[in-house]
Amino acid sequence: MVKDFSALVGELKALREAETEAQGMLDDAERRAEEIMRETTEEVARINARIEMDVANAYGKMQERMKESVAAHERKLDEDFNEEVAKLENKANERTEAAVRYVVEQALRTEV
Amino acid sequence: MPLSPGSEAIRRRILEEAESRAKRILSEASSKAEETVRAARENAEKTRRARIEEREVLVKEKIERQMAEASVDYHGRLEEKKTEAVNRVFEEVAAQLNAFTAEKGYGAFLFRLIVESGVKLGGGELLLQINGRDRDRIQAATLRKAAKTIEEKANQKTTLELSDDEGNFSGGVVASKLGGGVFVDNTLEERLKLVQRELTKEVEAMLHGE
Repeated sequence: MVKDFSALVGELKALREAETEAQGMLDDAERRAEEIMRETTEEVARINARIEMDVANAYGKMQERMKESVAAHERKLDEDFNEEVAKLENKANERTEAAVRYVVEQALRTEV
Repeated sequence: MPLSPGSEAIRRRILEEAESRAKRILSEASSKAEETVRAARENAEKTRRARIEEREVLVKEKIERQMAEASVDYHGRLEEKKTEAVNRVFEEVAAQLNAFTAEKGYGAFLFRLIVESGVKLGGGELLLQINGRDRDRIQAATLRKAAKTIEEKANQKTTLELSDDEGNFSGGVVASKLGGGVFVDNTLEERLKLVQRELTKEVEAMLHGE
């Protein structure tokens, strides 16, 4: 129980100081909360930036694989082509003379 | 100066409540932050996967397109080679036909060409164009003989006359009705074109078939 006025003032002052201290705690907590949210926003930005990087890296690797696949396919086709052309030309060379003879005969064939 | 017990209790309560609210503020902020980051990571993973899959589809389509183009090109090049071989046959035929004009049998062949042309025109008064070299081969008697043969085959009185214009071709004849626009082109060049049109498929089969 308050005994006198000066003691009452002292107690009120002490309570006001406690309120100020409490408000300080709350202000600190709010600032820290804001800081946490700012850091969170930055972290989200970093996460999103990493997507771009990951996708770009993956796409780069896919393109490399694509080039390799297409190049391998083209090499195979070239090999097949050379092999086919060699076979084709051998066969055609063997048959050209007969074909020429036949066409010449047809060109010289008259209806009378 | 020490506070009275009542005031001290109030002071402690003020500070305890403040501390508790401060802790709650920080805890809520931390939870919200954790949730935000977790959701961001989850979304990021979904987005990353979706975009990579999207690009995989694009790349797969591109590979298939490029491979298909390469295959079409392969078949095109192979066809070109086949066509080259066929063309070589007709080039050789052209050379042999040209060489034939200097051979012994060519005179008789030219006679047959004249008769064939005349019969196709149905006989009558016909004008023949031949090249300069062949003029020596076609004598008046040859023309009479040819006219007679045409007459017999076409059942039409026939006369043959050599044109003064020399034909610019390697051999054969261009025959036309006198005074009319109807003509038969029986030159070696034309016969070559004809066999080329008619026999290309056959020659392809001869060269490249089983």
